[in-house]
Amino acid sequence: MVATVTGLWFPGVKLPQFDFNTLNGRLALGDLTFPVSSTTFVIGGIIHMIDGIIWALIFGLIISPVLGVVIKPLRPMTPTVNLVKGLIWGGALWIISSALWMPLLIGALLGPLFTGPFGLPCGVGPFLTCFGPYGVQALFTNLFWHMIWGVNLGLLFNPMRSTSRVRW
Amino acid sequence: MMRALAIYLGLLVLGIILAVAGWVLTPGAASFAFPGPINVAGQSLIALGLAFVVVAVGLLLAGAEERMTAAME
Repeated sequence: MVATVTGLWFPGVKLPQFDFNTLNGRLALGDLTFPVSSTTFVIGGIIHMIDGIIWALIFGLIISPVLGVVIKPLRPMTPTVNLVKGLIWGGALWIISSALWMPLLIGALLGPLFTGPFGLPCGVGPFLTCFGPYGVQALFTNLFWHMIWGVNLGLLFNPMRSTSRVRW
Repeated sequence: MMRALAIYLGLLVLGIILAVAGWVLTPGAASFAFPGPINVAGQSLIALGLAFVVVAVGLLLAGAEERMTAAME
């Protein structure tokens, strides 16, 4: 939720707007009209929130415990270690988003609008290297967005340590 | 403890420097009108710098929580 809203504020710091609500709504409803309808925006927002919750659950139930087992320095469940795990998961989702999700889905949606070298349509390019007039900077803006998500996740996800006297 | 704090603050300062450099490089005022200002190098620096800032603030908050928890126990 925090990352989604922050993405809408990106133009305030001279970055392109990251409106995942509209993108998800357009993908789900096939609505390519401009300006986008409020229904598309709201439905896309609900889809994006559910996406975020599912990725956070995967982190809490699988990724965080597995990272603690595989990487020894990440074993203690201190706030800093939890944050680092959240950042690792945010970075992993940034790679998945930039390498697969955006080129395959958004690229197909916006493909005819964006052209690359020689004026050929390029979708959003491999790893967001051809995002219309924005060029490769969309890749870094996507990293910034995922770091906001990862920091929120890592700071909020603080499971009880096994040595704690408090029991559920 | 002081070493970790110095690293977090260094990351924060680095992020601010990158973001300010990117802001200066990107011509035009910030605008919510599409497509807004476009400068690949400048906006890349802004995005990278702000990513560093967000991570540094997160690390500082997590470190503060650890120290407060330790002080209370």
